[in-house]
Amino acid sequence: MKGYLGEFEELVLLTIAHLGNEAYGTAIMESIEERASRKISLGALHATLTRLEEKGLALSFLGEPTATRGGRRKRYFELTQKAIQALNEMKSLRDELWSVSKVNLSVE
Amino acid sequence: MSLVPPKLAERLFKRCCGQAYVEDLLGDLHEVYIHQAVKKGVRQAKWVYWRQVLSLIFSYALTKRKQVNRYEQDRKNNRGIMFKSYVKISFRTIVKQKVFTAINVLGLALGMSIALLAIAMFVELRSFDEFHPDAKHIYRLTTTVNKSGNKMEFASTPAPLAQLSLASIPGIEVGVLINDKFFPVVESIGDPINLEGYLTTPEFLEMFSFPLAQGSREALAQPGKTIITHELAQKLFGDKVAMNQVIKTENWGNLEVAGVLKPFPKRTHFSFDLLAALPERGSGNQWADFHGSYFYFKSENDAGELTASINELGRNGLDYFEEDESLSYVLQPLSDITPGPLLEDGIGIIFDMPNMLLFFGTALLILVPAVINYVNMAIAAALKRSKEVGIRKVVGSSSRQIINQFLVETTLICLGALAISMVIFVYLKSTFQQMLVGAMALTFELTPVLFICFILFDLVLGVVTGLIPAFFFSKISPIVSLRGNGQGGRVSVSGIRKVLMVFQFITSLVFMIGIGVLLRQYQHSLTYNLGFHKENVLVAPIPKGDTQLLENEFLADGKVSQISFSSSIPGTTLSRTAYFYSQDALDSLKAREVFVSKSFLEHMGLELVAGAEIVENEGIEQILVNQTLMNRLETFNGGSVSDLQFFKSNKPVSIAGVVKDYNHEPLNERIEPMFLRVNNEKTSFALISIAPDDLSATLSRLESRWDGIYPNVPFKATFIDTEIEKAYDFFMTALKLFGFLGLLAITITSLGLLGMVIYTTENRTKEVAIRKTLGANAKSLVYTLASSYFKLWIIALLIAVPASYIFYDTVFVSIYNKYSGGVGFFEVLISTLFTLLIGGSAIFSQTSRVMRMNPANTLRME
Repeated sequence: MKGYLGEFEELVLLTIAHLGNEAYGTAIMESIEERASRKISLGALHATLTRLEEKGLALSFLGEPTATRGGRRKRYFELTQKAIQALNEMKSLRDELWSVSKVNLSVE
Repeated sequence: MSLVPPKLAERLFKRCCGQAYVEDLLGDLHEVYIHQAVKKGVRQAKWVYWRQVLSLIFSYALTKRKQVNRYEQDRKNNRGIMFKSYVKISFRTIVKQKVFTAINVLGLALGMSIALLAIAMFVELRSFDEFHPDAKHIYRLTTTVNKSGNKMEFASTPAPLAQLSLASIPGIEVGVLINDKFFPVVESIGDPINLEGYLTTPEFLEMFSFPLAQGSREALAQPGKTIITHELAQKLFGDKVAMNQVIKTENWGNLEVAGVLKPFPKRTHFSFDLLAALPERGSGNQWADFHGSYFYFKSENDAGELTASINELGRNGLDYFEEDESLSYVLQPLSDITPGPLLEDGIGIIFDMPNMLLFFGTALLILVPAVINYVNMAIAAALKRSKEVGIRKVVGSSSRQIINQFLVETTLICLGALAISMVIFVYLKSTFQQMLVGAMALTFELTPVLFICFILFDLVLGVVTGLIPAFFFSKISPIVSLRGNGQGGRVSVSGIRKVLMVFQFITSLVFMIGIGVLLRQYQHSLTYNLGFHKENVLVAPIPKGDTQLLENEFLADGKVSQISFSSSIPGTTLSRTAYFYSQDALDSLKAREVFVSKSFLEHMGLELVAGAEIVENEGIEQILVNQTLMNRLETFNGGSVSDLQFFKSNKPVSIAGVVKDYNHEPLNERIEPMFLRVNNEKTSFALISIAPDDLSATLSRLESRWDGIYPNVPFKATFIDTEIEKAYDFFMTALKLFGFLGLLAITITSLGLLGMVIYTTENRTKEVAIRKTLGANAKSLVYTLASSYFKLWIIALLIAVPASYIFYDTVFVSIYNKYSGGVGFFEVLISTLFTLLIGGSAIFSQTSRVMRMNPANTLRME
């Protein structure tokens, strides 16, 4: 399947969803670093964001310039309908796999 | 606290990004830096900043942004503007290079004309038989016979299989059997009228959309009735009412007109003058002998299922075929019949794909030289254009844009050519309709669909033609082109372009030699001694009946020396045939039959090789045979020539004498077995020998004598030579075709040559001037300027002359003239010289212009 959703892509999409109106580069990066406690570079994040845009899963628009970051604009990201659908499919697949698991997956 | 990210890293990042939009990325970097500095101090923050910058530089995000910037933005904003610029510059170039443009537009227009014809024909053939309702569901059943590995595909089908399918396959709504072996000959004054018709059932008119103007289609169920087309009704009865008239035929008895069709579209593969009922036939071996029997049916079922069930039924007939023959039946949708695969035993008008491809090939053969011209001249213009290209490149144009520029230019020229070519097309189509057998069914109407096809073809042609020059120019290095006369001021005719020019010469030569050969054969045919007298012989078609009165009346005229009667004009095509049977009636022999009067032999100066003239037809009929028939009869009847019978009348005949072979038919036919029967009643032409002086007076006297005998029939006398000449009309058709193709080929080649020579000479004016001042004479100058072309000509001659000689001598001539003795040296020489003369004049017109220039003027200008 061409529009296959990668693990990191899924993470980024969910983070965009979590941040809502405040989803821009640095915010996404820091949120991921904090929650998933893993180091990611801006390059890797922006590469993924670009790919998501190409796949039609994310949209971006430029915000107003702010004083905090040397007077530069932010690029905000938001999810498309297709992204929401893809995330749902992913989730239901996971749920299904969990429910049919023959090994006890619960952690004591 | 003012925190500023490391300047060097920022500069590096900006530099790597070039024109791409990265404001948001810089903002993100800045924010990361501030956060890090607050948390872990400036030193650590700087280190992180550097790492983030590097990660971004090598990330896909930046690569993509750069790409977008380079192409998308520019092109999105400027596409329209650039296109306008291409068109504007193209127009300027076209106006600037008037000669170049004119030569190319004319050349391409001529070259395209045949291609347009081919396209129009193809488009029209595609729409054949679409006017029938439910044409999608109509199929024809075709038969494939596989005889020990030798596969034959027939358009026809065994009739019993058709009847079985109709009776037992429920999916077949309606089906019709057609037999096309129905050729009634209608009696008429002069030559009889030969008609083509179909024997079929009333369903024919139900399934196919040939509406009736009068009558009912049920007439096709009654023997002796016929339904005729509007055109035939006009031809036979004029303005009179055709219904219930009787058509008297020689071979099918009397047919009563029980219906007249309305005029219907010609876009159908059926071709008939009249329809009649399919006779009940005995069950005999109709399985294996299925020639001329066709089965069409309508069904909405799946074609695969139908094929399977029909093939199942086909097993019933296997007993009738030889053991090594296996049969399969294939459904052919109605729309695939024209243009369709090449099938044996086709019905009606046949336009098969192989022949269409041949036609397209011819069109290409004419078009390609014109394209070659364009490419040659465009590249020859390189010297002038390379500076333009150099400057464009320096200013920042990409190769792509230069390619686009040249493609637009070529397409514009092609559009101009299309406009002219359409005019040629309109003129051509009527000529073409007369030339090609079956082409009368084509209207060549300029429909919107056809017009769109033309435009599409033109655009494709423009792009294909423009590609080579476009790539050539896009590769020009700006440094070389701007350095001045970097290419040495010479246009070399090199490499592939030499091959292209040789190819053009060869095409022209082959066509020109073809014209020469045809003209020579035509002249030969008309002057050939056919073996009978044809000087001062008048021919007049006569009504059937006794001829004695006419003979006496005409012989009474002092200027008439001899008169005889015949059913066919000697020297023209014979249509009557009859079969001889041997006494055991096992075998038959086909021969051409001519009815003559007794005086025919002596009048035409025919010699008897053996036997005697026919004395009197009493008891057993006596006939005269020609030598060819005599030879055949001897081998066929086991050495004996007695006890022969006619096929139809079962009448015994005896041979009275043998006539020396003479060419009763045109020279494109061999001397076939032929025999003469004496029967004045069946003759249809009077042959009258008259004194050559005072023709008009003789003719008017004969006419008044004629009117005395046949007051209702006009006297239409012509000389036999004229009639024979008419029989060679096929030469005229071929000559027109070859003449036109040859004219096109040689015009295009000469135009190309002219263009090339103009460029060469223009670029070499200075060289010529210096040569002249140093004392070169005219001869050496011509040699310098034209020698490269002459070399190419010699190569072309060495290939084209032997090749066309062999082709015309072995294949071509025998089609047109069986008694010619092949291609002569003379006509090849004349055609070749003529071609060289035309090409030569193109070269000399330009070289002499350069030579006449005053060297002082040329040199002063530089």
